[in-house]
Amino acid sequence: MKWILRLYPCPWRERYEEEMLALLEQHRITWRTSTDLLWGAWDAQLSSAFGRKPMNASSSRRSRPVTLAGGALIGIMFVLGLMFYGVLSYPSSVSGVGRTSLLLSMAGLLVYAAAVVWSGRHSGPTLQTALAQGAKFGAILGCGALVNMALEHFTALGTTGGMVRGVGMWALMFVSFGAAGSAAFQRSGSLNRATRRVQLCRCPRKRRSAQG
Amino acid sequence: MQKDLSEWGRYSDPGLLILSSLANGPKHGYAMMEDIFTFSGTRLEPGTLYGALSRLEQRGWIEALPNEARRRPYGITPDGRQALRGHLQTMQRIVTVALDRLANA
Repeated sequence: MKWILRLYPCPWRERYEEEMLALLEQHRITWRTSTDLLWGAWDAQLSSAFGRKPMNASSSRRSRPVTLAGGALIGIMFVLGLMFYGVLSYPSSVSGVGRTSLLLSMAGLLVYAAAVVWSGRHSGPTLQTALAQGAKFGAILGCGALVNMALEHFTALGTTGGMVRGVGMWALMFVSFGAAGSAAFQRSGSLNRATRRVQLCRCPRKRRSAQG
Repeated sequence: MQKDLSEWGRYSDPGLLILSSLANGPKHGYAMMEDIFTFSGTRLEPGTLYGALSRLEQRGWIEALPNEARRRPYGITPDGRQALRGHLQTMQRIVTVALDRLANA
């Protein structure tokens, strides 16, 4: 169960992780507990993105270059995912209107990347974090769409099987890419290291105990 | 920042339950869960509990007390008592009206 707590943002973990672990040791763990913790992690990430921080928590330890590079990289993944989605769904559409859509998608990618870079130089941390988090959650959707569409094209299942597979794939993609996205953003070292060895946020015990 | 518990969405009910649990003295997370289950029959899970605790603490309605081993007790603040009282009075009005209407239906 400890791995789910790694999906929470670092400031949150520094503030609450130790006491949550102590509580979980006494608590009977069920599937509801896991679902609830996953939902709590999602909520904490969103809250962190939009400015609500845990009390007494230190500021995020993400360095600005890591956040910006992560935002740009995952923004690219998002748009590429959507583009592949369109191409795989409607191969004949890469002409005429389809081509226009594709070009618009690529323009959207450039605008998003430019916005991330601009925010790093000229805006406050709130906008930077919002953009980066937006890219992260967008990446989850884009990658999920890509994998799901690829499966639809390379397998032929009946309606029920297709539905179950689709829902299952979406759920799996949400969790796995969410974890990978968190790792990319929360890793205190370089983004390259983070993407090569997908590791989750590690908050130094020294800092956590200092909170107590 | 929401001024009233009713604006907290899915954390509204847990917030009310937590404040009610802390009204008779400080408790740590597990003790709160057990107490809430005893008086309300609601079994809060840890993710929901800490989501609500974070909001209550941010609002200044509860405060963290010094650690006991790895467990951290929380206590209700004067602002928290006032917020709880206000919310319960609203609920009491609703209950009174609803019961009255049921009786006269």
